[in-house]
Parts: sequence; structure tokens; C-alpha cells
Amino acid sequence: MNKINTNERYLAIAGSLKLNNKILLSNFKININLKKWNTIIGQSGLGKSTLLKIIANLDVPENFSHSIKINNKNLYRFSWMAQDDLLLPWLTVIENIFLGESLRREKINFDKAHNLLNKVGLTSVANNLPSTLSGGMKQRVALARTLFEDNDIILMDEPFTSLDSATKMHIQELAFTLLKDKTVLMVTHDPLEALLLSNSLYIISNKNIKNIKLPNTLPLREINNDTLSYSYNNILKIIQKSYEEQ
Amino acid sequence: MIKTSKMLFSILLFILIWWAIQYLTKTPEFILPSPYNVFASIIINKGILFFHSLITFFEIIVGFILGIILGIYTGILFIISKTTRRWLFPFIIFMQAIPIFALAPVLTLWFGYGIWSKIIMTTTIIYFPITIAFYDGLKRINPMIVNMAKLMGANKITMLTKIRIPHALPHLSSGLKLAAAFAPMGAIIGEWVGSSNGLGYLMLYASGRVQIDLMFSAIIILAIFTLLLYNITSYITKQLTKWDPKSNL
Repeated sequence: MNKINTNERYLAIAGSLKLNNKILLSNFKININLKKWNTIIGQSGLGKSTLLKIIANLDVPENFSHSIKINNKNLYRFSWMAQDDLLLPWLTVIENIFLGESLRREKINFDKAHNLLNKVGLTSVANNLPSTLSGGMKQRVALARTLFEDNDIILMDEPFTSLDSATKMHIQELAFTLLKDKTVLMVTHDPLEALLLSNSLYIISNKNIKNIKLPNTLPLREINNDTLSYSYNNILKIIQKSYEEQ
Repeated sequence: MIKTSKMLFSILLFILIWWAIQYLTKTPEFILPSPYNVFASIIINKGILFFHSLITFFEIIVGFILGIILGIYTGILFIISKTTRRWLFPFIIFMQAIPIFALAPVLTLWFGYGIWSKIIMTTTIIYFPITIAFYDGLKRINPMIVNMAKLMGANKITMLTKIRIPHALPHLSSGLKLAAAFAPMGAIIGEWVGSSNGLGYLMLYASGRVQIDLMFSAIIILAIFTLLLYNITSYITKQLTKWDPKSNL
């Protein structure tokens, strides 16, 4: 494997995506900033999740076709976090965290797993089954599992959507702090969430992916009158406009 | 698993209803013997019942285990090889479409008068529910879990042993419980078609000599054995799927 070029700052993604010969994305090109939080926002049905799957080299449904290219793809390893926590119900919390090593039949680093469980504040439930946990706790376990893998790029498919608002804020903050030196590519349809977390923000509109300007402050941004009105005036309105154009 | 106390209550109730019907309708003993006479017959004929039971139980257990092994093997084969699935699946459905009664004489012809034709009959009867239930479980996993495991670097074997098979266990449990209830049928049909041993043979023998109490004794013993086999299977599958909240309702 080649060495990662340290000068590289972007992961360039370009191409087209079709569903049943209907064009969803045509000749788009985006640069994902490495070691930053990148977000793609857009309504459902525009191919956001499929785009993530293509980037991760996963199977996509057969009625999709695409010509998407990613530069130096083979240099990176990807992790996946989704709205569904994807915890295995027959494994305990701690076993779920070191799942990757047991799937690769490697020697299991228990200390690392317990350390991460501590970081997400769930030491007391290490040996519980996921079915005994709340939705927010499950998502924290999923976060610890992702961190355990220590991969370069974290792909997130609406990871916070199913949580209640208080839990959501807490986990967003936790995820942001713990994923600080990772490259994150998240898809969402929540303008406020996108504003709070992102270093750069893209919108799917008119079969293309465009950059949206963010305020000069750095994430993690707080919820206040400024961010609320920004997410409404500068993000939601653009989404609405693109909706009307279709 | 059915709780022992509840089970005992059901059995007592069943005996009571049986006795009441027999007593109130004054049905002659050679058509419906009373529970008391059947119980007496079990005591009197305990030697002959024990001998024939052993043979039938042996056929059922061996056929049951063979069917489980074959069913699990086929399920795994189906999930790892698309080609095998395409070729073998229609064949298995075809086998299932043939009534087992029609198959019995042929199996006796091929595998002889002894226990093997009965074992194979039992295996044939339970092979289908086990295979289908297990394959369904292996297949019906959330595809994103499979994707995530791929990203984590699972190989073909760990994908099967650590992801798909554990996920399929609750499904397999349903198949096994069905199989436990069906398995005795296979052995008995086999014995009816051609045999000189076993509870099935004893039922025909007793019925031919109008020893209805003996026939009922054989039926009762078979029913108790089936209940036992079901409960043991149910207990084992429950241990295997303790993590599944739905299995513990």
C-alpha cells in the first residue's frame, strides 16, 4: 500500500448517479476536507445514503448506476455510523465495541475497549445486552465501536435522527469531541444539526452538490438566536428554494 | 417451553374430559376404553410396550438428529453458494410436495424392513422445516449489519460464524420445535407401512386384534414421548437464544 501523501487535504469525489435511468446527480464534484467535519444536506430520495455507500465501496441496490470516482480511495479505511445503531443483540456492550477485532480474528485489546466505553460514559453497562439500553445509550455504544476501529474516515448516515432532542444534543457534542482528528462525512436533513457540527457544508440541489457558506465561527457551535436564525435563513431557505426548482 | 405445573394440569383435564365422555356416553370399551383401563393396560403390557417404545424412540431420535444436521448444513450451503441454492431449492420443494405417505412404501423397498427406512422417513419429514427456517434466518439479517461487518474486515467464515449464524438462531429454534413435533410422525408412518417392531407396528397389531386398550396405551406413550422431545428441544433452543427478548416471552 502506498504511503498517504501528507500534503493531501482533500478527498475528491466526482461523478454521476442514476436511479432507474433517472439522473439524481450529474457530474458533481466535491472536495471532502480531511480531518474536518463535512456534511451533505438535502431532502430524502436524492441519493444521499447511496452516495455514502458508494464511497464506502458497499453494495448498492441494483437499480442504481453510477460513475463516481474517488481519488486515492484505497489509502483510506472507512467506518460507518447510521441512524440504526447496528449493534448485535447477542453480544454484550463491550463485545460489540471490539467486534471489529473479533471479526478479523485479531488479539482483542480489552483495555482499549474499556477505555472507550469510559469515554462515552457507559462503564456500568459493559456486560449488558443492547436490548437493555435506551436509544441514546445504544448510539453511544455505536460511537465507541466506531472509535475502537480507529479508521480514517467516518461516514455517517443521519446518525442522530432517531434520538430525542436533549439526548441528541448531548451525543452530538460527544461525537464531535471524540471525532476531532477524524474525517467525518455526514448526511442529514436537519439544518440546525448541520450548522452546529460542520466545518464545511454541501447541499444537494438541482442534481448537483454545492457548497453552502457557514458562519465564521468554528464548530462545535452553540444553539442560540444567531445559529437558529442562520440555520433558518441561510440553510433551510436554500433547501426550500431547491425544492421549488424541481 | 410449557411450564411443568401447567402441563400437568392440562393432562389431568384431558384425562377428566376423556373419562367423562366415555362414562356419560356409555361408549363400549372396545371403541373408547376408559383412562383407567388404558392405564391398567400399560401396567400389564409394560414389557412389550417398553421393547417397542425403545425401537421407535431410537428411530425418532436418530432421524431427528440426522435431520437437524442435514437441515443446518443445507441452510449454510444455500447462503454461501448461489449456484447450490438455484439447483437444490426446487428439488427440496419438489420433495416436500410428495406426500410422505406415498414415499413410505418406496423407502421401505429401498432401505428395507428394519429401522433405517423409518429413520430416513423421520429425517425427510423434518428436513424441510429446519432447512427453510434456518436459511430464512441466515438471509433475513439487516443488510447494513453485513455491510458494517465487511467494512470491519470480516472474512467469509467470521461473517458466517459471528454474524449470520447467531442472527439465525431464533429462526432455527422455530424450525427445531416444529421438527420435534413432526419427527414421531415419520417413524410411525414408516412402521405402519412395513415393520415387525415399534409402537406403530404395535398399534396396527393391537387394532387388528381389537385390543383397543393396548392400542391406546401405545398412543399415550408416543404422545408423552413427543411432549418430552418438544420440551427438551424447546429448553435447549431457549438457552441458545437467551439474548433475544422475543424468544423469552
